[in-house]
Amino acid sequence: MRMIKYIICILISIVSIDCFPQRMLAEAASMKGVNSIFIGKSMLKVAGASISIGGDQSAINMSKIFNDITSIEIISCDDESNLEKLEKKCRSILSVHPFEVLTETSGDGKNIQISGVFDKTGQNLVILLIAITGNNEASFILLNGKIDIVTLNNALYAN
Amino acid sequence: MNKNSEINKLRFLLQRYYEAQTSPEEESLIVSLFAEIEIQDIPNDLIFDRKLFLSMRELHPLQTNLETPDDLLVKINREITEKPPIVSEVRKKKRKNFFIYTGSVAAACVLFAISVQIINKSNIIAPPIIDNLTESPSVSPEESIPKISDPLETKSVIRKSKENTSLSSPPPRINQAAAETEVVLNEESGYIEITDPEEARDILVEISKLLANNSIKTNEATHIVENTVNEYREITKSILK
Repeated sequence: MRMIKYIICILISIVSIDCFPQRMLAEAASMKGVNSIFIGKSMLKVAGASISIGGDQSAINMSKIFNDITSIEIISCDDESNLEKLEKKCRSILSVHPFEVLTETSGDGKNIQISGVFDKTGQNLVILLIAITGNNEASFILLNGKIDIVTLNNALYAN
Repeated sequence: MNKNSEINKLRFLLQRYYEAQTSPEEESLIVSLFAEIEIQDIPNDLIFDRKLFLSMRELHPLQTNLETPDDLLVKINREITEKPPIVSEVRKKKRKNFFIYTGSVAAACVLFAISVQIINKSNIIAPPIIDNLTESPSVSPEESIPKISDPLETKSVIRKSKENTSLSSPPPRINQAAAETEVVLNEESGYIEITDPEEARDILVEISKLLANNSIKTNEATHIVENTVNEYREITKSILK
């Protein structure tokens, strides 16, 4: 009986810990000179529902995508001394996942690389990373959650 | 004894018997009376009773010798009254223990969850509202919320919002102070957790703009490449001609 109690306790604890949102770039976010933002699932749903208020067509097209996203992490740094460290840190954290480069564009001294991690089916992205580097600045925008690649494509090329 | 008187007595006893008022002695007397009286002397209405009582004597000849044990009633009473309470008490104890265990487990879990929540949100910045009342520079609430004009300016917005939440630069007005409480700075992870829907919406808009611009650029690039390839093909064709 006692054993069962302990097992239940441990299970509930694990479940409750697991319920809290995972932050992939937490280590990078705690670095000096780094600014970071986190948007949780509930806030994304609220914001996603009211996205049409802004009137931006690209955002309205993307609202379907935002409904399925569980969290957004944004990391940025404009401190030259910490840029390299941040980039290395982010790359090392993200190297665990099999990222595939989707697009890479450059202009005005900035390089924007969009990459993602596909699930087993290959139809959905589970992580979408937007890495903006150049001009002594770096930003990493990480979208966690199920993103249907077809829906994303339709949203991006709707116009 | 006169026959009539015997029959009268028999009738009287039978009446008592059917009313369940006879003692065992009286019942045995009925049997003995029926045995003593000749069958031709018994009235017709008592013949059936006679058969019944005599057959009972034949079936249970040793019945009179049977004695019930003294402690039989006690045993029966114990079975009826004592055993069920013992079972119910055990069940009650088990139930009580179960509720205590489950209650304690549930309470522990709730406490754990609350403590984790408190640890996570222990860094909620409550702006000094009293200071804001005294120091109120002329900044409108609209100005206090950073607007992003360029998608690539996201980081500057992040920086601004982080600066606003720091204790060294308190928000200038009460409205702003109220707005700032919606931003949670988690110092341990370094994240500013956006809890203001408008701010979250602005960020989503900027991200979608960024993605859209990128897709447009990619589209343009692919068109340029396609055009270049077509031109190259035409040139090679013309050269070959």
